[in-house]
Amino acid sequence: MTDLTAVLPGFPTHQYVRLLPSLEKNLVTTADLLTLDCVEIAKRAQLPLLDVKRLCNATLEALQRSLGIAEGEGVQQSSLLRKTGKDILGSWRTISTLDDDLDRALGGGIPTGYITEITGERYATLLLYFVIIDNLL
Amino acid sequence: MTIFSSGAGKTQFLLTLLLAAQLDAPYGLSSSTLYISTESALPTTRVSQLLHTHPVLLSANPKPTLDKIISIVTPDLESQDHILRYQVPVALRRHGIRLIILDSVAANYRAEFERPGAGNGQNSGANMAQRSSELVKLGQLLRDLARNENCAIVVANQVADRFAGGGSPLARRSAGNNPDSSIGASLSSLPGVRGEVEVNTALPFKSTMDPMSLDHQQRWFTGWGDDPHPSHLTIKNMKTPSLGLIWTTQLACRVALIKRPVYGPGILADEENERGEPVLRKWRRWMKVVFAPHVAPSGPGLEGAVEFEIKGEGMKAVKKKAKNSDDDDEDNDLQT
Repeated sequence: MTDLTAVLPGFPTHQYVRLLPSLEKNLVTTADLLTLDCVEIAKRAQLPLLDVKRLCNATLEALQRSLGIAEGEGVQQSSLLRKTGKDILGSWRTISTLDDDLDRALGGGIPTGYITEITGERYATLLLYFVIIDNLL
Repeated sequence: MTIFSSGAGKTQFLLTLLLAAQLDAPYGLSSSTLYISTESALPTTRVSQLLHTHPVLLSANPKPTLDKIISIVTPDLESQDHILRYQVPVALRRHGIRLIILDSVAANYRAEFERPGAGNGQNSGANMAQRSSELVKLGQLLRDLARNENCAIVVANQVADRFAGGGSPLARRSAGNNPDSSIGASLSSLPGVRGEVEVNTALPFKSTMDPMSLDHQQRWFTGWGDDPHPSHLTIKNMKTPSLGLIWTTQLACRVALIKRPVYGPGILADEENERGEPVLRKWRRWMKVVFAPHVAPSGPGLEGAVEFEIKGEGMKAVKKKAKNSDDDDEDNDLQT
């Protein structure tokens, strides 16, 4: 249960304060709330079935809203996860590597709004060469 | 003796970004930058060297400064988590930061989860499971930051040698749980794919022929091992980025910096080793886009990768035609 606040930061947990400690003790995760039968969860955490049902429904609804796929009023709400092509183009910025060829390969540079990983060998292996050379001298 | 510059050029890449982000469009974001380091502090002498020698940085107005690079060292996982979760969001808004560099992401996880003694029997499995969930949380945290603040997040990762045979625990497990290996068998019986399968036997991960296995598939997301015609040396120098598949799924884009040694004509002989060793003349480096949401990957091997060299004034792509030019002193002007 510890991950509910992480998965849904805006979730009104105060309404379900009574349920949370027991869910936490029995290791019920947010994924469990969405995928398991309410009866199953209620049995596992020894909680009233109706309360659990309410929490499950609220979780599902909150999740749909944050994805921007909720029905009714949720549709008008803008979601951070749901962007139009125009939005993306409008906020598209990159950081240049200050070299034209490298930039071209990277499609302009390192984009904002994403995690980019740069991976490669460290110089530790070279450091090893130095140690070997030092030993030879 | 030639002074070798550092590894594959990761640090040079990151330092360039730290300065470039301060420039106005189209180069940068005209913003401050944040450098979170897990090992050593920001190499300020190299940053100022770049600042005073790179033509684009020199001609820029206003000029980037070291004042706009905020740096912090996070020596352990606990402080790293605290800083990322509570201090970075505040700093982002206060200083208008649009680029966060985390160098390197694996170091603290390595220290915490791979210490000796913790890695025996059942414990190591539990440790890895815990590490995976920590990595997912870190990924989520960074993704939210990137999205909410529309800032670029760049993480540096190290590579480890890839071992032949045995493979990862995951690969062994999937191999063990797969009594019906008919996929591999039926594939190899098809004439069209036979050639590819034969190539695979020459690769170090030949132990698993199963195309569904991690050992087979990792060549397409690690950046190493997708060379269709690998030389002996390439096979020996196979690498895998740290933190595994779970971490890879957290990333939007992976860029691999690959280096290969170039041996000179002479032989470095000494008394102890009669046969001598080939003289290492220099390193050649390539930048390869492994996967990205906005641009096509560089493709297999080093064909599509951009070769670059590291000079005093920063990274510079090598023009394809000028490949055979003699450049003995190219690495000498870099003092870091």
